[in-house]
Amino acid sequence: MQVPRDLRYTKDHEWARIEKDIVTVGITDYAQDKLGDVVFIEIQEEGTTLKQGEKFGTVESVKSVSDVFSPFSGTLKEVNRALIDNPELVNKDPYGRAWMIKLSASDIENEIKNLMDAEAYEKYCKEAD
Amino acid sequence: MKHTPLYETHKRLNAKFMEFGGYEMPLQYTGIIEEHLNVRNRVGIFDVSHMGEIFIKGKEALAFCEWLTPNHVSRLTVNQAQYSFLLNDAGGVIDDIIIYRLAEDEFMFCVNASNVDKDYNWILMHKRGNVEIENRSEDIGMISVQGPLSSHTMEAIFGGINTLKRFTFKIDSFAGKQIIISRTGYTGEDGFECFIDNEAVVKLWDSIIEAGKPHAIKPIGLGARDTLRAEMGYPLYGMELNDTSTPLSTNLGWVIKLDKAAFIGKEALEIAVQKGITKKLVGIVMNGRSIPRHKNPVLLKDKVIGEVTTGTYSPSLSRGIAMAYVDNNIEINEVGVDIRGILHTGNVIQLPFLKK
Repeated sequence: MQVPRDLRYTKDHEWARIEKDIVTVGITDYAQDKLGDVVFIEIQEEGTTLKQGEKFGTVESVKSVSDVFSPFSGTLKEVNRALIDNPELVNKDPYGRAWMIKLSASDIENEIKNLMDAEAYEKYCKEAD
Repeated sequence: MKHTPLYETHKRLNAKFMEFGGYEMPLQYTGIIEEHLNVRNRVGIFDVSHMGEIFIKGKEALAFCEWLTPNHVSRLTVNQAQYSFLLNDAGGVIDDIIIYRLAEDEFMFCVNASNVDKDYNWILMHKRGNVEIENRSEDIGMISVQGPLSSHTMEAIFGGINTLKRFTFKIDSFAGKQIIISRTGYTGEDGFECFIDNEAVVKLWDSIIEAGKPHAIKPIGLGARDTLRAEMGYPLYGMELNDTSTPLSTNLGWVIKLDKAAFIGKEALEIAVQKGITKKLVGIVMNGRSIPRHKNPVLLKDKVIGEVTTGTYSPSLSRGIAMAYVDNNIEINEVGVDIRGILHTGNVIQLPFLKK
């Protein structure tokens, strides 16, 4: 299972890459492995205001449906259209081409406390198994 | 949870597991879509040892089976198999089964894993005449080999198996054990199902994997088993079939032979036919990318006309598909499916989804 060191993680298995106040979000390798073949992704419109922990989309595999939640409060700036057209990218490249949204975050400094670093997330996944 | 003799094999193959019928079974190995397409295009091997086997034997076995099930058992010759049901007095489906005529006076019922105890008790409770009833589900393993290259694979181990006709079987031996090989399956492809003593299951699996190597055989989990049967519109107990509704609204009405002598559930079915069948099972192919799921409401304009029984993604059609019971008396082409509060449209089709 891949857990890149430079990312932050939620308990719902989203990852967040923080670059100044822009946060790129996707789901983790652990999550895609649990889901199996992803066949459909729905994401809210650009411009939507999200609170930390609020649902911003749905990821469907052959067998199941999972909601995805925003790791930070902010405004949804960009949706990865290429991913909507090729949902299987989630299984192939969860931390790269399968990024889901870019978020203009409003309070990274405070909200980051609610996320895990790579080490804590790895431990969290092991305990979940 | 119970395990089949192949549990360690599945673990070595890195299977993801799920609970099914009290067993810990492989959901998938490399991925449902890949496995599904391997069965459609080449060949796949399934561990279905969780399925049950109930034997009925004795002078009056035929008469008893005729009484227990709605299809014409007497039309079965020895070495022939038949799809049928166990029905309750109200005509509801206790289980869907395959009946194998092993000898003039001996039959094997292959039943769903989750229903073994229910079926066995039902059969015991209705025992009539000179028959012996034995539940050997725990001792017998079952391997299914499905796909257009399944006969090439099986022929390499069991020479002459190619001549078996659909829904017939032969009894052979393998690793010193008796094996029943039938040309049946649940995928819509050519295929074989093998019943053998638990002790020989792993050896049989390994031999089939070896024989299938030139044909790119793959182990297939229950995930793809479900998408394969869904594309063919095959009803599944617990989804399309249940104890409280008759099979008359399904595409399996042909199984019910109301012209035969008394059988359990016959009166209720006759009354149901007289009253008129109000629901029918249809297929829905979604227009967009959304995937319908079990229990999603089906709407015509603003009116709910039914509910999704099976909803999944079809790897062959790259679309969401659903089976649903809808009102029988309306001609419908396009319907809406309410998927988690949002209405998506789909086209109603005659089953199966995949015409072969």
